[in-house]
Amino acid sequence: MKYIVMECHRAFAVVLDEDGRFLKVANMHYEVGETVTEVIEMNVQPKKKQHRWVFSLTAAAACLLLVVSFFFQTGYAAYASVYLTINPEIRIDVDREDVVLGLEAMNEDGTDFLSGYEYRNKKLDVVMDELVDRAIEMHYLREGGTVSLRLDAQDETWITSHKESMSTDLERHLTEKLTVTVEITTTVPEESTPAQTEDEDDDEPKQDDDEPEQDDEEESDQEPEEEDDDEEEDSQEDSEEEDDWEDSDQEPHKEDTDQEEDD
Amino acid sequence: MKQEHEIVKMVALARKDLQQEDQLIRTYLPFIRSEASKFLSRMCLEQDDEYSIAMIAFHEAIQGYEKERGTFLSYAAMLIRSRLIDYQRRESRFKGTLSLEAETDDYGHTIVDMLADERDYFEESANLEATKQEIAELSQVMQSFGVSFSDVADNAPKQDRTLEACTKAIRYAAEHKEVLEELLRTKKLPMTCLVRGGGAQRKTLERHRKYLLAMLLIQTNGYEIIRGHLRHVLKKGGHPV
Repeated sequence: MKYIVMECHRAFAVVLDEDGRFLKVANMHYEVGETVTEVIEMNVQPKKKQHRWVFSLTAAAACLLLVVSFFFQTGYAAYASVYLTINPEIRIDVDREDVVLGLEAMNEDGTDFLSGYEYRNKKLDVVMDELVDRAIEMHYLREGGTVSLRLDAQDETWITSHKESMSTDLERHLTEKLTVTVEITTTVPEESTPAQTEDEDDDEPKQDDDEPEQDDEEESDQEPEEEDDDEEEDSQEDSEEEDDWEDSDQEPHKEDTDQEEDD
Repeated sequence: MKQEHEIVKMVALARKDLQQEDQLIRTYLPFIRSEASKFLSRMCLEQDDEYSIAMIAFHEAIQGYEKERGTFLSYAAMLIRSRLIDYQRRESRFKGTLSLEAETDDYGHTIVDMLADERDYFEESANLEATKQEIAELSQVMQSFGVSFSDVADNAPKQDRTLEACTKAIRYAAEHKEVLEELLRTKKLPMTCLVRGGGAQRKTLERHRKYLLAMLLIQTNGYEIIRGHLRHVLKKGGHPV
């Protein structure tokens, strides 16, 4: 395309192209009458009359929304929870953006494990890595051990996507450090909301997930397992293994403590 | 702040009047230069392309500034930066190409020397002079209508659709000399004829009056070079790109 320079100003020039378009372009030391082949066009600003009152209305609406949202917060409403069991078992509550809202110990070891750990406003993957490291330092997680995650959320898409990503992240994080088994189980959303109660075990239906590193055995029963850990109890619905072969959906049980929720 | 108020007033004036804009730009030339230099991490010189780009960005700022967008200078700085970034991105696509100035042999000949030169510089400079003259004349005639090329650029159709509509009207006028005669006689745009002859909507043509005026004037006597340049426009049934 060829352009004839029609007018030159300090800040710009006007050119005419072969199609009859007059354009304002950057004045690259042009001379009137010159023909050029490359120009840098000015961006034309769409002039839209923005009504003033729209701004106040939007502001008011935003304020209202903010106030109302405060009334809906009871503590926090976690979007999803991750139950992390190594030996200590803890629950990590996250919001939609995977920011950790809270951590709670599910067993005694968990309490020790978490004491002094700062999770405020950290993202889930960061917290996961940090906690795993912490577990290694505190010797909870050893070579050949197992890290179990149980993902609990209402949103199935969250569960699916996180199952993949968390497993990958964990494995990657651990590659240099230890060889352990990572297993992930999930729950199908039911009436119970995640992270509101301690014992949801009974409420949740079992389901079989395909775990990369597990054989799926029957759900309700206990497997004889030999793992370095302590007793597990027999329960029909829940067994608490986290070991190499696993029942996919069991709630990992806390070995060391006597919690009642077991059924 | 009083100072901001002053600046805003000046910007409003500059928007309507190119002389005022010139003044404003001269006042803030150091500012424009420094913004460009900041971006480049080196002194921005007048011969740099970036200098020209920063200038047109400032012009854009003057045209587009609204009080809601913050202070004028911060808006201008933002625009300058944006346009420079765009430019850099476009230019980086050409990295890795060989410079024509690179030397090819032991005698200091560069690649550009080796390329066969197809242009006739003598002819070109003659053309340049002639073109300048045509443009000067056209500019004068347009002045008598109170229109400048800047106005035309602001007023010109941007969409292909509207450009096409205007082109049809222009072609009609080119083929019917009486339309052009009327224009020159009455010093007014014969809109009704154009609408009838060109087949476009009146509303569209009304929106681009100044543009039509310029294009119609070009169809009158004395602007052969410019007309020659506009080959696409006059081709029968030819579409603008």
